[in-house]
Amino acid sequence: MSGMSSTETPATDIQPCVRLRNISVQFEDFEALKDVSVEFPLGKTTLIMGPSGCGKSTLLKVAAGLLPPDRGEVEIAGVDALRGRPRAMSEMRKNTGFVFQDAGLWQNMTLFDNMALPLEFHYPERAENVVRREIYAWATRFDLSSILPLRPSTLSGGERKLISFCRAMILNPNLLFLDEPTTFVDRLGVERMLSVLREKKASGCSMIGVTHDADLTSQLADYILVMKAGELREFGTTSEIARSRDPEVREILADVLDEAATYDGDILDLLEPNGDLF
Amino acid sequence: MYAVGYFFEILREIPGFFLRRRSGLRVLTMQMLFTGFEALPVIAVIALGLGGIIVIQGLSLLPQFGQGQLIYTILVIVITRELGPILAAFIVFARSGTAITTEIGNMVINREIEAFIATGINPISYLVVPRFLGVTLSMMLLNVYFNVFGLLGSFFIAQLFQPLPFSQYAAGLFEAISGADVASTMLKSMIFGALIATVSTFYGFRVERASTEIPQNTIRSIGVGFTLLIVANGVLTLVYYL
Amino acid sequence: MKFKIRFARQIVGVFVILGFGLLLMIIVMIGSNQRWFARNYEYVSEFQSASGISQGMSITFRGFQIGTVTSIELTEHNVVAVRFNIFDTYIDKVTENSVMQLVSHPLGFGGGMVLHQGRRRTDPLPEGSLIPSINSGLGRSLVAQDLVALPEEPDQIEELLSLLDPILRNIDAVTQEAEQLLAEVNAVLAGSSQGPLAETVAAVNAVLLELEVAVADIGKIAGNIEATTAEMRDPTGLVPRLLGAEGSIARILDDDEELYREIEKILASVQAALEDVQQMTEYLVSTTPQISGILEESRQAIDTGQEVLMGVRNNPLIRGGVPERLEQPTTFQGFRDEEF
Repeated sequence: MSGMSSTETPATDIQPCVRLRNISVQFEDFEALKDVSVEFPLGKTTLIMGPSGCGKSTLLKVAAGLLPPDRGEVEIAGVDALRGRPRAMSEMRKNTGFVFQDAGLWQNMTLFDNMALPLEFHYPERAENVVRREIYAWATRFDLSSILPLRPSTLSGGERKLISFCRAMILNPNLLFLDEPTTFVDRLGVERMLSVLREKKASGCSMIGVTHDADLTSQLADYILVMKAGELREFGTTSEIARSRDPEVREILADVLDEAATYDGDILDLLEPNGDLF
Repeated sequence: MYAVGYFFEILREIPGFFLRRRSGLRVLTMQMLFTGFEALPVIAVIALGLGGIIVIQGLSLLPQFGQGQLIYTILVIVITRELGPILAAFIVFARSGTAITTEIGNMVINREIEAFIATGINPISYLVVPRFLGVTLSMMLLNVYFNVFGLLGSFFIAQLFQPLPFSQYAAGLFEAISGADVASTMLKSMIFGALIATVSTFYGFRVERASTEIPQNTIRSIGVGFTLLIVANGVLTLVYYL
Repeated sequence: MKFKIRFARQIVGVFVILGFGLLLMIIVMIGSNQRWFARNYEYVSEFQSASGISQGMSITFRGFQIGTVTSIELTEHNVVAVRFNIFDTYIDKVTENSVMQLVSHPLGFGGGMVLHQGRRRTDPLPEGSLIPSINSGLGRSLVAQDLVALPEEPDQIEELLSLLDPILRNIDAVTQEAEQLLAEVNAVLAGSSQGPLAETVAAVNAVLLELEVAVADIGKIAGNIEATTAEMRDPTGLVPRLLGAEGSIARILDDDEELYREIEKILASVQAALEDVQQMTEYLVSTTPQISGILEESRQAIDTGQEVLMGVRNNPLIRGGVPERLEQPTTFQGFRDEEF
């Protein structure tokens, strides 16, 4: 890790939304994360990329405080996620959302209840019809209102993903974790999802995501974090990473972002002299 | 040691349940439906049988040495004070304890627990506390029903042997039973309920990755739970006689 | 959705309400059976001494428990204040001019606090009022004015006698049985040789003679006791007379001393009588195994005789022979096996 200047936090003046320090995660004999330190910038979208099994999802879960690391410290929105007081943690979670890779819906609840529960839990004072209206507003946006009384097991993967997405959105989070949100989702669904995410981004929501989706990357990414075999390979703004000379990084990017990465760094420079893609 | 901490975590989350009644109440209702109401037939059959056996044996044995009146005391000791709570606890554990362990284990495998944490819903407060309250309350109520069925059942069985008016039977019974008996049996069933809920949810959360861990943990929870129930019963009985 | 799931709330509601209802019912039943909810009325009485009075002691009226003693305390004036509860079902028994009496049984069991109702039928006394003890000045004057309904209690010595009576009857029965036994033994032994058996029979006869004498003694003793009781009755009759017109307390006391001596004498004779009875019973007990031993041996003798007869009848020369016979186990050991 030493000698790799690019693994340092790129902009120290930017306040982090999530700060990870010396994170190591071990799954039995397999070392999923090896001493990773990262500060995700506040109000920006950071996408984690890398080949399968390199620890992207693990890093995301650690960053979201879902997976306690074997070593290291996690700080989310100023709260120590490992030793923080439960009340502070609960308050913090009220404002975060997580879209799971495999949807992570509650199997023995209807989809409506899946979306209603976070609201009912965090805002018990809210009237039932208010909650209902809010849920139907989200469901209508994704054309899902007809399937709300069903249970997750009867749905397709894409529908599940969209419900999971709606569930994450319903608390109106200002910190969003996206674990491959677009897989299994049809084109139209992805379009709708993107429009929501663009709105969130515009309203200053910090986002940390794992994705292989080129559209998502090109439309949302402010920062890109490249991982390989449980280690942090490179972390920088999208244009910095796109111009990386590291052949491994280029290879990974070529896999993930077939178009953007094929451009030569110099052409990118010509196109965007400020290094700011959007 | 970790389990003790877990137990206190549950206790700490109980007040929160009453603040967020709406979301937890549904879980509580369902838990009570499955644990309490649906166990009623089994409880009734066992209680009627037990009461009947005591009366049959008692009525053939006790009058031989002129202690026919002792039948009421024996009924109260066996059904109310000793076997009622522990048998009901065994039934509840076998039915609902295992179901809870399996359910929570499955939720862990399906990453539903992570989803709870991610949405800021404390799994202990949402999953465990309503189950804890539901099982404990159901346990106490089932114990009441067990007593009612056991004591009534013995009356009907007694009717076959030597018909006696209900008023006389009731008088004899309420003479033998004391407030301390009722308090002891309710306390016992409350503690048993809390124990069942704690052990079964605890082992549910012990599942980590593989679905094969679910039956393993269920078996372990039954072993530990039954042992704890018997130990707790012994301790409580000792306390009663001290 | 399944019916159960749809109506989960209602089902569980009924389950819970019914459960708690039953629990409440059980508690109420226990409570009413064990007087948790019944109101008790508290009264006070004053006694000279607390000896014989204890907390929780029951208060009786004509043999029914109508209340309990709740506390005993020594007041500034060296009077023992006894607080007690009267159950609400018996509150109408506590009428004006009622008095309390501490009754102790001469044989040391039973006894207790007894309420004697006032003669006039009145409303129950207000709670907390003083019910005088029968030995206090107030109580005595109430009794003297015949305002208290004192039950006619059976004479205690008479009671004692009535206790003795069944004992005597038992002894009589035993004697009769013994005589019967002896008659049987005699019948069995009649005409047989004069061995140790006959001697024992003679001894038993002697025993019986002694027994008869003892029974006669007891009869005499009983007569004595009756006589003394008659004497006793007279002094007890004296008491109201003394309390009434003449009212000389000193004389009563003098009489009382006499009375005590009398009672002491009577008790001594009763004790002597009881001792006699005991001796006799012991003697009877000690002779019982001898008698039974004799009986047993004679039974065996008869059996053997029977066997011989049977043998003769079944003589192989004449008929089949001596048949196998199952030995009947005896309930008593043989006379010689018995340890004395």
